[in-house]
Amino acid sequence: MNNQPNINEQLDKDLVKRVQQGDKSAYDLLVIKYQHRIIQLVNRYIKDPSEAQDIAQEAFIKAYRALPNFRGDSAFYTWLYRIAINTAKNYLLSRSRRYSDYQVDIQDAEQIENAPQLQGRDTPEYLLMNDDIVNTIETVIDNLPEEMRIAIMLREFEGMSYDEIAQTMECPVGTIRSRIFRAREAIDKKLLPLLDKR
Amino acid sequence: MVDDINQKISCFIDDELKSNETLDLLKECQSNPTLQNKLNRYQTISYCLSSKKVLPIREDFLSNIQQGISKDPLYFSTVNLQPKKSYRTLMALAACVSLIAILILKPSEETPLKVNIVSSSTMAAITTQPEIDQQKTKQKNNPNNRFNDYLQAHNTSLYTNTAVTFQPYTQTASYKQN
Repeated sequence: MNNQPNINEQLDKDLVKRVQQGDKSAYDLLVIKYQHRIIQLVNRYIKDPSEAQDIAQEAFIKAYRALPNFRGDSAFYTWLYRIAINTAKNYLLSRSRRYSDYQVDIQDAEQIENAPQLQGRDTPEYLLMNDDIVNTIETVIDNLPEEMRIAIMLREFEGMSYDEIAQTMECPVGTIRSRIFRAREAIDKKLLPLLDKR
Repeated sequence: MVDDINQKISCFIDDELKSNETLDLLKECQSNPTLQNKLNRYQTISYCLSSKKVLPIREDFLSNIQQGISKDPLYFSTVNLQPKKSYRTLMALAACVSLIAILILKPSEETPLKVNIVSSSTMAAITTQPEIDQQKTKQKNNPNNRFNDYLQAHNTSLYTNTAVTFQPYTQTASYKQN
């Protein structure tokens, strides 16, 4: 089931076509589908989560405006990915010019990912919250029943598909699906109060 | 029922949903903010497990984008492109037809022209025979022509106007000596 890029690409193509024909609500579906991936991607360039989300939003808006020119030569996500990276790099360049602390030109933009001084710094509050949540998740996983813990760890740490996990654990795919879901539910219950505190 | 949808969200995060199921789930998330929050939290958990970093999504993330694009015009690029393509095709077709028409008609136009030319020249040949005789007598009376005739008759000059009367160099030299 994990090797479904073609099917998902077809879904993306259908949604893109609907947007191009004037259906704005189809774009919401594309945003919901890719928002987290794009925020994660932008966060590699811009460390501050709030700023990263602003830039991710900007990238989605830019992509919407450029959609009439999207011919589908590449997959929608690949195209969106490039827009997000360019938006993040342009933001960092404009910020570096604004503060003029660092001399950056276009060529240097490629190196931004490896330049932490340009990415912004994590605030103490963010670091504290981050540690709190990571510790909570680790504690919940440690206390999970063994079969659930192994299933979620194979999925999250090893990146295995449900089929592969099912073969490894010698049980049906449906069982693996259920175990991973229940593990996530257990973590979510403990995490909800922490995320609400933000 | 809720568990079923939540399980689908879990599968969606792991790219384990079929295309139609994904579409249904996305539509449900679009209309139900609680489901959207659930999806965001599951994604946060997943990212946190793999990267040890927390990256929660703001609840207004989608609505901000909707606001950003709300003033933008609706795009009908696909709809607009099709008439353009058909218009271009029609133009190309029309150009081809006209070119073919020109190519077909051109010889048929030239043939009557040739016929006309031939017929006119024939007619001219017939009607102007006395005129040619008159021209010949005129040419004969012309002093230049008479001079040429003289030179040709003596056959020693280079100043004749045709190649037939052109003399070899030795003869020309002997003429000069004389």
